[in-house]
Order: sequence, then C-alpha cells, then structure tokens
Amino acid sequence: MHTVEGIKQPALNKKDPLIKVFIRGLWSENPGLCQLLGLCPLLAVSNSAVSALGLGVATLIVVCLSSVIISLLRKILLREVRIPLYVVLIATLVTCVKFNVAAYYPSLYDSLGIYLALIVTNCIIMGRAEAVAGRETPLRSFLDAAGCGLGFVLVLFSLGSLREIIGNGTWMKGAGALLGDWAVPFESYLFSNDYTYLVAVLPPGGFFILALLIAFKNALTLYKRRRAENRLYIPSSRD
Amino acid sequence: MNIKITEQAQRQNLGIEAAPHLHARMNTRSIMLLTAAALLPAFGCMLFFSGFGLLWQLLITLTTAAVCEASVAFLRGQKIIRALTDGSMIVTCLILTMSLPQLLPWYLSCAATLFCFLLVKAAFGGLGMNIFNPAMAGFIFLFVSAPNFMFETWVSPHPQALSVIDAQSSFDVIFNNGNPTMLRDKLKQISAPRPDAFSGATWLDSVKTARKAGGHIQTDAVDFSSEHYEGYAALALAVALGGIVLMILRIVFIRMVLSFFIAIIIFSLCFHYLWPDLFLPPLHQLLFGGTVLAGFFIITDPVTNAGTARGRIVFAVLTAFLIVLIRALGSYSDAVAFSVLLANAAAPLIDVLTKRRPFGVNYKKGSLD
Repeated sequence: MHTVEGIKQPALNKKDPLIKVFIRGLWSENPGLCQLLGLCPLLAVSNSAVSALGLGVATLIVVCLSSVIISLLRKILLREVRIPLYVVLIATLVTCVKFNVAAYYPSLYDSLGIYLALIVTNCIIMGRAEAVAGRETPLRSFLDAAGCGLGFVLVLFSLGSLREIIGNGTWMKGAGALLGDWAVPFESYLFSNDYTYLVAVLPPGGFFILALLIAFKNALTLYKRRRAENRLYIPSSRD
Repeated sequence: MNIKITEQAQRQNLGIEAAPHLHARMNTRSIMLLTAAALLPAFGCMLFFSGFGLLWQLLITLTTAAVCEASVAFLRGQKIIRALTDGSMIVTCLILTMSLPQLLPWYLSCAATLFCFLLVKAAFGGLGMNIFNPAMAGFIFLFVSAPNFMFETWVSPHPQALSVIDAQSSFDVIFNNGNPTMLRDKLKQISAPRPDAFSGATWLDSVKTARKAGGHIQTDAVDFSSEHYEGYAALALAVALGGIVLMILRIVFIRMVLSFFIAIIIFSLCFHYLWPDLFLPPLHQLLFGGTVLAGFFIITDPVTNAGTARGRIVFAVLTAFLIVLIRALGSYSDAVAFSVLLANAAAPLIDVLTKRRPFGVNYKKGSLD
C-alpha cells in the first residue's frame, strides 16, 4: 500500500465543516508542501523574504477573488468551455493586481519581474477553480481559496526567510523600500557576511531548503499518525 | 552472510544481478581501511608541503563526521559502534580534508562536513545508497557558498611550509579567526620570487583569471623540478603510489583508472593542439588540481560510479572529458568536483545503456544457426 500524500483528491465532502475546509488548504493539503503546486515562483522569488511575501500576497488576492467570482458564476458558465473562461477571468484579475502593485509598490514590482504576471499560469489558482470553485457555494470556495492561498504565503515566506537568513545574514532586508514605511522596523541584520552560505540564495539552496521543509512536515505527520496508531493498539495488546 | 532484498529494492528491480555470483574476498570495512591507508602517503606529502593546518582540518572533519554518523545511526536504530567503525567515514574525511583549503575557519569545515554526511549521504539512505560523492559535494557546497574564503585560505605547496605554518599559528588562524593572508605572505617571502608570480589562490585559479582577462597562459614557466612546483609533482606521485597499491590489491577497478588517465591525456593533447590558448597541455592537466586524486580515489568510489564493467569505462571517460572541458570553459577554477558530480548524476543512465545481455537471450536472428 503506497499512496502519495496530496495526489488523491476527491471533491470536497459536502458534510465537511467550514473550518476543516479552511485548515485543509492551510496545512493538511498545503499547496507548497503537499500538492507541490506553483513550484516555479516558489523557488524563483523566494531568495528574499520581502519579495516572497509580496508575491505570496498577490497570489492570495488573486486566488480568493477568482474563486469567489467563479463560484458565483458557476451556474451560467458552460461546462465545455470553462477552462478558457477561467483563464480569461484569472488573467483579468492578475492584470488588475499587477497594475496596482506597479502603481503603489514600484520597487516591489521591479524585484518580482515576470513572476507577478506569471501568476496567471500558477496551477494553484487553476486547481482551486477547477476542483472547488466550479462546484461549491461562494462561501466554501472562498474559505478553501483563502486556506490554500494562506498556506502558499506561509510556505513562500518561511522559505524566503530561511534562504535570506542563511544566505545573506539579513531578514526582510529592503522591506521599507519595497513595502512602505510601516515595514522598516522589521528589517534586521543578524550576522556578518563571514558566516553566511551563499548557496542558500542560489537556485540549489531553494531546492535544498524546500526539501527540508517538506521532510519536516512529513515527519510531523508521520509522528502524529504513529502516535494515533499506538494509542489504538495498546489496549488490545494488554488484553 | 544474509542478503536482504527490501520491498522497495524488489519493486525497482534493484535486487541482485543474474547468476553466477562470486564470493567477495573482502568486506566493506577492510576495503575502506585499506583505501584510507593508501591515502596516507598522499596525506603525509600534503602535510609536508602545506603546513600543519591540514591536521587540524582532519581533526575537525573527523569529529563532525563521527557526531553525524552516530546521531544518524541512533535515529535509524542501528548500532552506533558499527556505523563509526565501518571506515567509510575515514575515507570520506580524508578526501574532503585534502580538497578543502588548509587554513579554512573551523565553522566552514564543520558546515561542509555536516552537509556531506547529513544531506548527501544520510538523506539518501546512508552507506552504499548515496548517488553523489559526499566529499566532492561537501567541497562544492563550500566552493559555491563562501568563494572568497576558499581563495584566501589556500596554501600553495612549498617545501618549508611545515616550519612556517606550525601547530600554533595554524591553530590561531583556524580556531581564533586569525589572518590567513599573513601566513601565506610569510611563506611566499621565504622563497625566491617566482618566474610567473601568480595572483590567484592556486595555479589553476590564476590561469582562469588570465584567460578571462584575455591574456596568454604561461605554461612554459612551470618547471616541476623547481622549488615552486615540486610540491605539485610530489603530491601527484604520492597519490599515485597509494593508488597503485590499491590497483594491485584489486580494490579499485584497474580499467577505470587506466581509461581515466588515457582519456585525460588524449583529450588534453587534442584540445591543446587545436586551441593552445584555451586548453592546458596534458602534464599540467595531470599535475595541477585534483586530477590524480580523482583518478585513483574519487571516481573509483564503488557507491557512486556506474555498476557495469563497460559503464565504468564510460563513466571514467566522461569524467575526464568534463574535467578538461570545465577547466577551460567553466567559470569556477575547480573542475574535478563538478565533473565528478555530473558524472555521478549520469551514472544510473550509463548503467541502463550498458546493461549486460543475459546469457541465452536476444540473439541476432540466424546467429545460432
């Protein structure tokens, strides 16, 4: 018996409570750590915490809006041409977000480069639209999308933070310039360049640290499962 | 001896090859200990030509490696004593120490050892399961992570190194954040000025710098019997001595070593003839950098090279080709480690392409008539 976590995904169970729908995207079916979706932006922009946060929030906004709108329109969208319609809708939303970022956070816009526009092709958004938003009520779709989006933001931000701390010795460097004055106090310089490992901000470091994060999550899940199994097993063995 | 085929190995068809099976003369521990013993002349030679720092580095890597191996064995529920005494740790540490710069700060050597034993070796399943050569991967980890440290702390071989870089001064540099440049300058001042006073950390590094600046490589100025370069020649001979002992004991694959060196010579002869400004001549290819060490000890690592007889030759030739090519065209000055890792990555494919035909199947039509 070997099942790969996150691959087997039946349509959401109608009976699931709303909080479970939200938690599912955030932890048990996290897009970054379990479904391994959206890896291209995940690895490409996560070499600093600030740009990771910027792209994560942009993705979160797009996935929430697109899920709600698709869910509202699900009765009138033709099943046969739903994919092109989703793409047009998502592209429209991404363009809006892109112009907003360009207008209000120009330096963040520069540092994200092509990856902001590439949110259109991010499979998390398409996956949520296809798996949930096209079938469920707006509220459930919104919670599901928010859970997935937040889960993605968390993974992206923690990956970016780890890579920046190990590779550069700083955390949230340039936050003031990229995100506005409120973020200035978060900028921190932890240790000097003598103790950093440059490989962490290079592409291989992204893979290493993402792999370690996934291993950490799997270890946690496995530990919990074993403990639950043991709890079930012990009374019967005593008898 | 019982051979266990795990469920996963069976599913991936990684079990035992088709019969006939031969009984091995040696076990892993004796192979590894003999390899370590064969590395000792080279290690001693390097100690003589590059100073006492090397011994401190060996101490650091061995301690870190022992801690790693013990904790991994503990987590896996294996016997800790067995994990510590199987000898592979000593061989890996020796090769890693000989490739790292001798005056590297202790925390960097520690980090390289941690990377090499935990991520490259243990994460893939421990002894016998790693796909990349741990020592080379650890070296590249540092080479990419802290390039300026790698250049600053390298001691170019010199006969009087042991008197300048003694136990105390190298201890200060390695453990107390001393200044490595001062020691290196002291060593440089002893000798008469070089005919080709090179600017980079190593000779290959200065060649790379000269090539980038569009200059000419002065290979004629290198005289391997002179004070400045005899260290390189002696080191290569010492490594070859240990390697030949291993060849006689049949621990390393003779055809692999031979094909590697023949390939290096042929490729560098051809390329040097065609583009003399870009490629080094054969003698320089062999004696500078870690070519000899790679040929005898690194590519012959039984875990990470190819698994078939023909495949091993392909593996050796591929590594040799990559070394010659990367030395000329790569942006880093080291080529051996990168080439070995690339060939390691290609090894499973080489295995598939050079699979032996089982006896009695797939004859050509009509060939049995």
